[in-house]
Parts: sequence; C-alpha cells; structure tokens
Amino acid sequence: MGRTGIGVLLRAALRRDRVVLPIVVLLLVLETVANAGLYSSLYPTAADRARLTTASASNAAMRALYGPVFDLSTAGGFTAWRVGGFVATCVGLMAMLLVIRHTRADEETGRTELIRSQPLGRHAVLASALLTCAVGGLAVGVLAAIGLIVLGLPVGGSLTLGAGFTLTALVFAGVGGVAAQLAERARTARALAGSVLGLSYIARAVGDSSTPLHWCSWLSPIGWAERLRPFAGDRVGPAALSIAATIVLVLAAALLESRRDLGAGMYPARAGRPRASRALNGIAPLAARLQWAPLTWWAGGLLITGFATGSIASGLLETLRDTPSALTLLQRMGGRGALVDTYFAAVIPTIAVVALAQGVAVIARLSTEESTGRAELLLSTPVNRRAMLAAHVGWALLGAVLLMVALGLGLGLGYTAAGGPLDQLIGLIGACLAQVPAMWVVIAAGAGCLGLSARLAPVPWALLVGCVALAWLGPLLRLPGAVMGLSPFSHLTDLPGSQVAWTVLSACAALAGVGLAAAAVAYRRRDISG
Amino acid sequence: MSKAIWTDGLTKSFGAIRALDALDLSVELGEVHGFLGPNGAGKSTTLRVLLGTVRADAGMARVLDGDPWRDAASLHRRLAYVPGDVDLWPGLSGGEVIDLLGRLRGGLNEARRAELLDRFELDPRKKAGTYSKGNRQKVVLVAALAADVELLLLDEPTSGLDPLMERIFQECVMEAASQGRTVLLSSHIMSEVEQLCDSVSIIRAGRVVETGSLEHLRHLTGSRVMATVQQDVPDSLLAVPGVQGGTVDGRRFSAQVDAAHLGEVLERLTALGVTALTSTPPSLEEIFLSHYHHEPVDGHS
Ligand SMILES: Nc1ncnc2c1ncn2[C@@H]1O[C@H](COP(=O)(O)OP(=O)(O)OP(=O)(O)O)[C@@H](O)[C@H]1O
Ligand SMILES: [Mg+2]
Repeated sequence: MGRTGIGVLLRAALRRDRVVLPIVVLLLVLETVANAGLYSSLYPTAADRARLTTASASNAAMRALYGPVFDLSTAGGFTAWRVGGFVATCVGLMAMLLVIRHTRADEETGRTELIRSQPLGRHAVLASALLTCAVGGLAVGVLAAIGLIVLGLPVGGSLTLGAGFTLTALVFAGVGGVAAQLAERARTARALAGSVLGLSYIARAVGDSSTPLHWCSWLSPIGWAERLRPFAGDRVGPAALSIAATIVLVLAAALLESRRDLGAGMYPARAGRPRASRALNGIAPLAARLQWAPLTWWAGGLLITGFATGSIASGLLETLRDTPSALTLLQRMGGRGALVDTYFAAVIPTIAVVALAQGVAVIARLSTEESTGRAELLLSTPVNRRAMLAAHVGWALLGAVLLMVALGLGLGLGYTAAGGPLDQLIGLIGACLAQVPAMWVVIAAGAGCLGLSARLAPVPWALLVGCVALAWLGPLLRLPGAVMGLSPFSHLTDLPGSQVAWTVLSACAALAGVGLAAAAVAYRRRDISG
Repeated sequence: MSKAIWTDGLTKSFGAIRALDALDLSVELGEVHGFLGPNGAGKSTTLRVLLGTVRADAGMARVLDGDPWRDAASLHRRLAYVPGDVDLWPGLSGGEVIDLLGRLRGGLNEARRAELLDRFELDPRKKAGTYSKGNRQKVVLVAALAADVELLLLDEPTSGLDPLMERIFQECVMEAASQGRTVLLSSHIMSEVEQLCDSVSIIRAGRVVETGSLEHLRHLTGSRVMATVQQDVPDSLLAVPGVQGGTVDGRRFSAQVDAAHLGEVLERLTALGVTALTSTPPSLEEIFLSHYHHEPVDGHS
C-alpha cells in the first residue's frame, strides 16, 4: 500500500472533521459514562438488582433491544448491557459515514481528482480515511474506558467495553471502505453500508432474543462486541473475529480500488430516463424528488424504533415497578401519570429530537443546492426565491408530522404486539403529534439561519445537537430549568398522561410561523451564489 | 429598448474584497459581446448582478429594460444563463435536467433540443452524477441554447469542452446571433472571443478598462511594425510617442505602434532606407496582455 502522503491526508481529514467528530465522540462517551454513574442511584439494593436481572433476562423484547443479559448486579455489567450494543452501533455508523465521506463522496465531487494529481500512493486516500475512523473509534473506546475507570469500575471490564467500541468502528470502517469502492455514488454507498449495519443489528437482535436462533448473534459485528462480555468475564476470543473481519474488508477495499478507475464503481449507476416525466415541471416537484426518498427512510426507521420501544414497555415497567429510584428518573422525564403513560411520555421526546434531524437535513439539502451552484442555476429561470425556500422547507414541516405519526403508530403497535391494549394507539399518535410544534420551532430557526446567510449552514446542526443533548442528558444531569428551557421541547406537557397544553402548542406554532416568515424575507434579500 | 445590458457605476464588495468598482458596461441589442478579464476581475460577479442573484451595493443595472434585482422572475423568462461549472443533481439524468430547466423557463424548442443533443453528442440518459465535466457543461448549454430567449448570459461556457465541441458551441452562438439574440460571453479563450464577438469589454479589478469593437481595440493598441533598414536604427526612434515595447537590433526595428503615430514612424524609417517592412494588427491576446501584464491582479481590496 502506498504510504506517501497518508500523514498529510490524515491531518487534513481530521482537520475537516474537527468539529463534528469530537462532538459525536463526546456524546457517545457521555452516554456510556452517565449510565454507569446512574446505576447505583437507580438500583441501590441487591434486591433491586436481582429484580432487574430476572425481569430483563426473561423478556425477549428487551434482550432484542439491548442485548444478552450477562450480569446486571454490577454497574459495569449494567452499562455494558444497557448501552454497549447501542454505542457500538453508533460508533459503527460514525465510522462507515466517515469513510464514505472521505472517499466516495469526495471522488464524486471531484475533490479526489485534485488530490490524486499530487504525488501520492494509489491507496493514500482510502488509507487516510480508514485511519481517520480508527482515530475516532479509538477515541470513543479509550475515553469511555477512562471515564468508567475514573468512576471506579474495574479496569479490565472498562477496557473490554472500550475495546468493543473501537473494534466495531474498525469493522464498519472496512464495510464503508468496501461500499465506497462498489458504488459509484456516495448515496448508494451509504445505503449499502447502512444495510450491512442494519442487518448486523437485526441479526444480533434475533440471536439475543431467541434461544434456538442464538447463533445469529455470531453473524453480527455488534454481536461480537457484546460477546466480549465486558464486566462479566471479559473474553478476548470474539475480538479475533472483529480483527479478522477488519483485515479482510480493508484488503478487499484496497483490491477493489486497484481494479477500478477513479470516479467509477464496480457497479455503475443505472441509466436514467432520456426525458423528464410530465410531473417534473417546477421547483416543487424538483424539491419533492430530492426530499422524498430520505423521508421514507426516516419514516420506516421511526416505525421500527417505535415498534421496538413500544414492545419493551411492559417488560421494562415490570422491572421498574418496585424500584423507586429508577421510577424517580423516569418521572423526571415523563411525569407522574399512570406508569405506562410516564414511560411513553419519557421516551417520545427523546426520539422526537432525533427525528428532528430529518428536518435539519432538509434544510442542509437546500444549502447544498446553493453551494453547488444549482440554486443559482434555478434562480436564473423565472423561479422565485420564496417558492424555492417553501418547496424545500415544506418537506421539513410536513416531515415532522409524518414522522411523528409513524413513531406513534410504531409505539402503539409494538405495545399491542407485546400484550398491551390497542386503544392506546390513538393516544400515542396524538402524544407524538404534540411534539410537532416544538420541532417546527427548531426547523424555523434553521430556515432563518439559511435565510440570513449561507455561512450559517452549520448552525441548524448545532441547534439539533443542543436539543438532543438537553433531551437525553438534561434529566440525568438534573440541569437547571433555565438551561432546559432553551429547548422548545422542554415546554411541552408530558403526554400521554396529562392535559394537552394548547397554549404552548399554539405559541410554538406561532413562533415557528414568525421564524419562517422572517426566513423568507431574509432569503429574498441576500446574495445567492455558488 | 435601446440596449440589452447597461450598467452605471456598479459596485459590489464581499467583505473587504471589492469585486466590482464602479463598473460601466454596455451591450447593444443583438450583438455578441465578449467579456474579458483576468481571474478575479469580477466577470462572474457582474453576471450574477445581471441575473439578480447578487445585489449590487451601488450603481445601476438594466437588463432588457428591467431591473435585474426587482424584476428577476419576469426577466428570466427572456434570458438563459450558463455558469462555468455546476454540480448538477446527481440523481437526475441529463435529459431530465434539460427538460426541467426548459419547463422552468416556460418551455423549450423541442426540435432544437433534439438537434443540439445530436450535435453535442450528449447521451441524455446518463445520471448527472456520472457525467464528466465537459458533459455536465453540455447539459447546461443545451438547456440554454434550446430556450427561445432574447439574451444569453454565458460565463466561461466552454470550460471543459474538447476542441471539436468548442467548435460546435461557436456555431451555435453564431446561429443565435443570426436569429437576433444578444449574447454576453465571458471567456478566457481569446480565439473564441475573436471568432464570435462583435465587441469586447475588458475588465480589471472590477472596472471596465477598455470597451469597443475589435477594430476599435486593435486601433487603440496599434500594430506591430517590423522593419529592416539600410543604416543602424537610432535609439531615438523608440522614444517617439505611440511606440511601445520596441527593440532595436542594429539595422532591425520592431515595436508596437499606435495608429495615430504610424505615419511618423514610417516616415523616419523610410528616411533610413527600408529594405523590408511588415505591419501586423495585434491579436486579441496582445490587446489583452497589453492591459494586464503590468501588474498581476487578484486579492485587490
Ligand atoms: N461570494 C463571494 N464571497 C466572497 N468573495 C467573492 C465572492 N464571489 C466573488 N468574490 C471575490 O470577488 C472577486 C471577483 O470574483 P469573480 O468570481 O467575479 O471573478 P471572475 O472575473 O469571474 O474570475 P474568473 O476568471 O477566475 O472566473 C474575487 O476577488 C473573488 O474572490
Ligand atoms: Mg468567473
């Protein structure tokens, strides 16, 4: 493998990711450490822990969502079970997106052509992208381990859990690397690698929840990480599988790269239509064409997430019923209604803030239209700016509604599938829809940034991260009300279980309306250039 | 309507960078107007102001008798724009992009669309993400040239085209001109401008430094005179007003001479006994370089 220039490229890649990568790493580390820190206050007595263990071990839905139950009698064992699989999946996602961003996406935009014209090894770009992921994966693993050790957890287990994260990052960096060689377009590569990640998650969910299909977990890199059994025996064996898979995937990516032309893929993109369909006759149909597909993926994802979250409700509540400290945390998030209402009221906003990423991505797509010069090309026709803004931002506003319906539907169906009453369904959809005005506020703020200046493009993402951080970590860290109040989500009432606060919802909707109007005025007045 | 494009004192700054500095540009109806200038001179910025995507800080601009900022949407029915480089929508085919842009402009000439695809040898089925740079450029060119518009704003439209396609592009522009359309062509390719343009504006650091017909510019720059005479040429000949870039090498003389002073120089040479004499009009490249090569331009403030 050509080593020339890898160092330079690696430094450039890390520089490019110097904001987003540390934020993602930090969030994942915090998620891990916060759960370990909470354990002793959630489950203070041996009896609490025993109840948790029996209830979780006997509930297939919970094993499917979190992973196999090895030992929930220690903070470490609990953390490994509760967040191990989740963080490993996120690290894998991060690595896969990162590799594709630095390889295929750059190649697609022609950036690589410039770099390749420099005297560099043939595989320098791929190698530096993989190394970037290794740095990110290592950061998550090492920092999480250090955090756990500082909390006083056993060193061996902490290192094993951290190693699981790093190894998963490496495997999925390899998956991303191969996908980037196969597909001609970054989007296809992401879909390809994403499917592998999704299948890995499903394979381990099946294996972990069903005894006869136990072997399925061994097909999954996430399953391998879980089977390192952090804090419950600390095995090294499965690490060999991860390492072997990484080596095979990296070699495969390098081999594929040697055998193809720059810009080409192994599977060339399919030919398109020679004429536009009758329907593609304006800015709104164009925006629909660009925005529709990602929205359907999001809706599907939320349906599944809702289903999984709904189906573990009964089991989870079983473990909580007699654990006052855990109940307190749940009530801090979800109010003091009937227990099941409290549960749903706690989880709905935490998922809704993540679904907000769809709206932010919609706005980001309009920014991309501008940075690529496409907005300028469109505006050289009789299209006016307000129509262009509305055509895109409408998908964010509508998307919020559709996604919340999908989430409510998933929650209700999952709850019913696990034995709950079906009549909750409408209430759950309504509770999810009550999040929409708060989502609109953030979307309107994002649109306002875009309206003001192209340079504010990263701000909507920062707003999203802020909302996610407050929703997820705020109740755990008991942040003061003034800080929590920054997120529009904190002003909503706990639904289901309490009164719908129509005034808050109308205020949010009105605020969003004002923000959007301001965005439209600002967008009309500023320069738009490629 | 008297002029297709007219600007007066157009000024635009991006932060500390002054991209346009009291730019006066005038393009007659029906002419092909070349727009030349070194990198960063402000050509693209001018075109963006004329399109109404960028707003000038000061000065006036009129396009087809309208205000490009205020009347953008209605003017855009009557003009088409080709940028020098654009990332098209990766998921749309070239044919879809052409149809989309055409429909947005209110329809395009079907026969012309088919003819242009054929002449530019463009496969409309390929996804835009897989087109080469030159083919991407052709997509936008076909969309613009197939539109029934009065004005074409072209910003380095042939970047990435091979010489054969460059030739076809020139034919298309000549056809557009013969149909009475106005073309503003920003370009770095002198032969292209020389071939196509009735008149030219040269801009530098956000100002038009020279404008007029090619004849006029040639006249201003003067011809290169080379002569061999029977005696040694006195150095004083180089000091005659209107003589630039001259060299004297024994009995040989060579210099750029203004039309106004050509008579005087020839008289002096004749007095020395001319044995050989050539006078060549300056190429556009020479005109261009005579305006630029004193100082490199960019990052001016
Ligand atoms: N959006 C912008 N933000 C900041 N500066 C800009 C912007 N657009 C142009 N400039 C600056 O304005 C000046 C004029 O740029 P412009 O693109 O108009 O030049 P040009 O004549 O088209 O050059 P080229 O021949 O390289 O295309 C340059 O100094 C450029 O850096
Ligand atoms: Mg330019």
